[in-house]
Order: sequence, then structure tokens, then C-alpha cells
Amino acid sequence: MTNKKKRILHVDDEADTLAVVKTILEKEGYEVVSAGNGAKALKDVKLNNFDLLILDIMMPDMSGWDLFTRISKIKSTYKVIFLTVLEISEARLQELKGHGVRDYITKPFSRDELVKRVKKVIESQ
Amino acid sequence: MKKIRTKLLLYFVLISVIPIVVIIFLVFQNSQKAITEQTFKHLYSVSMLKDNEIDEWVDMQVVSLELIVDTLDKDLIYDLQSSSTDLEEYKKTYQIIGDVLRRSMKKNSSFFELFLMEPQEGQVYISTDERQVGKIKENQSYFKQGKEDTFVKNVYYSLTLDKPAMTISTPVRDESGNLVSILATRVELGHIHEIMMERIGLGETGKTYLVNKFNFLVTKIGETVGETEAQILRRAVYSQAIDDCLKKNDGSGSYKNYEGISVIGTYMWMSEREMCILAEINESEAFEPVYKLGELLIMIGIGVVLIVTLIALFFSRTLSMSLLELIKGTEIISRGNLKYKINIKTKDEIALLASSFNNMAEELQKRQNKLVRTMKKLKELDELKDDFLNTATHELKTPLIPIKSQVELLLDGDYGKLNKEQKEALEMIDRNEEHLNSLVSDVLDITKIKSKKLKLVFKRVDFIKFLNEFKECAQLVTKKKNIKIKFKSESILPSVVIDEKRIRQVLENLLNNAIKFTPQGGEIEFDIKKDKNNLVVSVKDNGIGMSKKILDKLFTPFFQADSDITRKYGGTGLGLSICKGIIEAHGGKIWAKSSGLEKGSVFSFSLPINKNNSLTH
Repeated sequence: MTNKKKRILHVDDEADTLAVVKTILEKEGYEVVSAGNGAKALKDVKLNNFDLLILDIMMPDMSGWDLFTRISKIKSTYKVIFLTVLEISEARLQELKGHGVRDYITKPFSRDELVKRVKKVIESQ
Repeated sequence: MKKIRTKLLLYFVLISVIPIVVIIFLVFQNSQKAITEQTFKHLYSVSMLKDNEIDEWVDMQVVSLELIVDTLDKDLIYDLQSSSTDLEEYKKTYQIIGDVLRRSMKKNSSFFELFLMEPQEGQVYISTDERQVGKIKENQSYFKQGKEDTFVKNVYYSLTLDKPAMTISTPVRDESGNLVSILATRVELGHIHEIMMERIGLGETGKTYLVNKFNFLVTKIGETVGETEAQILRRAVYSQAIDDCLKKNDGSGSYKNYEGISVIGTYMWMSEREMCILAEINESEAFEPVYKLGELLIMIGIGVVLIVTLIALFFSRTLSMSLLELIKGTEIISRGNLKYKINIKTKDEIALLASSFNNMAEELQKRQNKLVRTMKKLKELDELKDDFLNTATHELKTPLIPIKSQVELLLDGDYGKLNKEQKEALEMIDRNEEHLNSLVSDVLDITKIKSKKLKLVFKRVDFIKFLNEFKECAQLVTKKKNIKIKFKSESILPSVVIDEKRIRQVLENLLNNAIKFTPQGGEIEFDIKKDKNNLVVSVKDNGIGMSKKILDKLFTPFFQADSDITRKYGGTGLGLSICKGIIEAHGGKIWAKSSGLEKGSVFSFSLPINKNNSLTH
């Protein structure tokens, strides 16, 4: 364990979801930055460095996919987890993994599951 | 396939050839018959003419001989017959009569001997041929008959002359009518020969000839090669015509003459001359006009057939070209180019057919356009449905996230310690949230299935490995409920192409159902078998079982055996219809069996083994 807190950016259009994820992950000792839309997320990404991005897919204005594509142009080495109600097919996931996506979690998720997966991705190289 | 063109051509040619052949045959036959008859007539008349000429000539010889009798001095003949040959008188008389005979003979070129016979023994006592004097002819017909009246001995072969000859005799009487002597002449047949050789009206191969009753030729026939006249005349000749004629019949026919040549001939029995006169012409010559006509007919026939063939060729070509164009057009149209126009220039039924094809294609085009529009609309609706499903999933599940997470945080004591009641209340909320979540998932699943929107991700899967993963989870769940679980499977199972996640969902659903209806201490058995081309998975429990009436309705959405059960066991009533949808999307079947209430039940499904990745939903 390093002293420095790992920083996570969570993007979701639902304020409640942002709040719960923040609560759960901060209790695990992560620093969580919440963004309510793609524009804010892009701004955050430009200003700060993050150890992990958690992206929702279905969002108004800019979808998770679009956001992912645009972030990849800024920095392609981000670790990304999709947190979504949509199902992603195995084939699609394999394709996404080639672009830096590490995992996806289907909503609603259990606390344990979220924590376990985030930990696993952050600690992986 | 026999081409229409070839068939048509064949029929045309046959239709033209058959009548032509028949016509040629009939014309040929008729003209042959006509020619034969005409030739017969012709030959007859030639024969008659020659017969007459011969008779006339013989009569002339007779008259000629009788005239000589008048010039003879009967007294001198008496003297000659009665006096001795030694006397001077005799010699004088002999000289006088001899001169008369010699003079007479000179007047008639056909006579080659004139002689007198004494009437008792028929001895020749004077002749133009000295060698004959003294010969006795009392047995000769010309002597015996000649005593009474003029007699013509018909043709015989003269050894003296070495050629055929005739003898004519006539009585010599004095003024009181007493028989003094018999005058006879040998006649050469040179003139008859000339008559017979006269070729007027006989063409190139036509000939007339005489045959006597001993089958000998009387006159020579045309030019002879390698044979002397004598040799020819000493030869017996035979033919069907000669045989019949010598039986004194007249007739005509086609036959082989004595030289073996096919001829058309007529024959006549000359009763006075006791000979046959035959007139013959080679068949090849006689029928030459027929053959020429035949050749002409055949030429015309060939011409007609050629013309018919050309016409047929033209027609069949036009027809088959139209048909080929039609075929080409329909092929192009059937390949989907409905705008193609079949172009046939003729103005017949085929053109009509082509235009109705064109109309059909136009109509099809209109309908296709309509269909395309409809399809577009449907596709738009479909996309809308997709959007709706995604939105519905999102909107229904999103509120559940904070509920679940916050309840978990509360229960975990993250917001402070809870008393028993608080904990129980939160647990109830959590349970119901779980139920609501699965209800939402199920409703969305069944909606996807019903609207054929279930997206499956097929992969070839080693079923035993897949089963082992499931086994671990299943054992964990059943252990909690104190239920025994057994897995029975063949050691080698073929790999199958399935959507792992969905098949796991089916297995979980069936397991949960079994657990739900099996009392504590009960037993659940998974049985996996290969059955022909299917993999069959059965889940057997010894739970409450069900009646047959219920079995039929099990897979209907929202069906539950009775409302008590819902209350007691929970569940949405959608699980089995979702399972059915998933299995059917895999090309398999799902079914349930039960021996009755309290007797447990068996749920089974099958998955086809030899299936490639072609299923799309």
C-alpha cells in the first residue's frame, strides 16, 4: 500500500448513483471525483491524473462510448471500468479490452462486487 | 433437352419430305406403266408391219415363180423328159430350157436356184445349179405339195447356201391341165433380213428378229462381234418370250432376252411362215424418259426440301430467338432487376407473353417498392423498440442502485450501529429490492424474447467444463438449504455452440425452481445425456410435483400453479417462459414431466449438437 490515495473518476448522470459509489469507494480509502456529464469529465481528465475511470454508458448529451473515445485521444493508457445497466457481449468486451477497458459491472451491483472489481483493476498493472 | 429449334426443323423437313417421296414414287410408277404400255403398242405395230412386209415379199416370190411357169414351153419339157440324155436333140432342148431358167433367175435377185422335177419320182432333171441335177426329191414337201398347187416351204437352213433359205414350188401343167413337171426355186432371205434390220421407230437398242420353230434365228441381228453370220444363225436361242411364242401365242412383257438383257418386248406367231417375230427394246432405253422424269422430280423434291428447310430454319430461328430473349429476360428479372424490359420485335403470342412478363415485372416492382417502404418503417419501429428496451432497462434499474447500495451501507454499519428491528426492516427492504430487480430483469427478458430481441452470443463450449463451473455454485446454494444435489453425466460429452451466460441462466432457473419446491433433506438430480443429435439436460426433484393440467401451462408467462404457491415460494412466474425462449433461440426444446402431486417433477431441455454459429438471436 502506498501512502498516496488512488484517485478515481466516476462519470454518471444519476446523482444518487454518483453519491453511493463515492461513499462506498471512499470508505475503501480511494479519492473519488464525480462527474455528472461527459463535458465535466473531459475537463477533469484534462486537469488531473486518475488511476481509474468508471464510466456509465447511457447518458444524455454524450454517451459513455463517446466519452471513452474522446478520453482515449487525450490519454490512451487509462484503466477503465464500465458501470452500466446494459449488457455488453463477450465479443464487445474483448474488443474494448484491447483499448484499455478492464472490466464492466452490471447495475445494480452489490457493494462487495464493486469494491472487489475496482481493487482488482487498480492493483493490476 | 431437345431444342425447339431442332424439333421444329425436323418436323418441317419430315412434313415436306414424306409427300414428296410419295409423289415421286407414284409419278414414277405411273409413268413407267404408261411408257411400258406405249412401248408395247409401238413394238406390236412395228412387228405387224414387218410381218406384212414379209408376207408381201413371199407373195411376190410366189407370183414371180408362177410367172416363170408361163414362159416355159411345155412340149419341150415333155421332150426333155422322154428323150434319152445322149441324143443331140436332148442337149439342145436342155440348153433352151436351161437358158430360160437362167434368164428368169437373173430377173429375181432372191432366187439362187431354179430347177424342174419330173412328177413321178421327183428327180431333178434340170437346174441352174448343175450339181443338183439327178437328185431325187420325192420325199420333200415341196415335191409332194407342189404337184397339186403352189407351195411355199418355210425357212430352213440351207447347207448349200450355208444360210437360211426358203423353197417355193409350183406345178407346170400343159394346155389340157395335165401335170408336166414341178418348178421349184430356192429363195435367199436377204430381203427378209433387210426388212428385219429396218430400224425405223426402234430407237438405239430396239430390234426385231425372227426365230423358227427349232429355236433358230432366221435373220442375223444387228452388228455381230467375233461371230460370223453363219455361227449366229446356227445357234439356238431361248427366252421366256420365245418359248411362249413357239407355243403359237402372241404376247408382251418385260423379260430377259436370249442375251440375258432386260427388255420390254412383244412377240407374235406368224402361222403362215411358222416363225416367231419378236420386237424388243432395252428396258434402260425404254424407261429413259421415266428415269429422266424421276431425276427431275428428285431434283425438284430436293429443291423443295431445301426451301422448306430454309423457311423452317428461319421460323425456328425467329421463334427460338424470341424464346431465348424471353428466357434471358425472365432470368434477369428473377435475379431481381425488375426494371428490365424484355424486347421482342415479332408480333405474335411470344411478344404478347413478353409484354405480360414486362407488366408482371412492373407490378412486382411496384409491390417491391411498397414492401421496401414497409420494411423501412418496420425497421424504424424495430429500432424504436430497441431504444425503448434500452431506455426501459436503464430507467427501471437506475433507481435500484442507490437503494441497494444505501441499504448495504446501513446494514454493514457504515452509518452507525443498528438495533434488531432496524436491521430486520432493512433486510426486508433489501429482499424486496432483490425481488424487484429480478422482476425487472425478467420482464425485460420476456419482452426481448417476445419481440425477438434476445441477443445471444454463441460460442463453442466444452459442456463438461461448463457444467463443472455451474456445479460449484449449485452445491453452495443447495448446501445452505440442506438439499442433496447429484450430477449424473456421461464421461464424454460433445461440445456445443451456446450462449454460456443464457444457458447458465436456464440452469440456475431450473435449479432455483427445484430448490423452491423441494423440502429440506430432499434430493435434486442433474442428468446429462447425449440423445441422437441433441444434448439433453434433465433436472429431477422429489418435491411437490404437479398435476397434468398444470404441466401444460407451465411455460406460459406469469403462470404460477396457484396463488398460494406464489405467496409461499415467491418468484415472478416468468422464469420458465424465459427458459423456453432461450432454449428455443438455441434451436432446442424444453419440457416438464411429473407423475403427479407429491411425486416430484422432471424438467428437461435439449440443445442441438451439430449446430454452427449461424443463429442470430
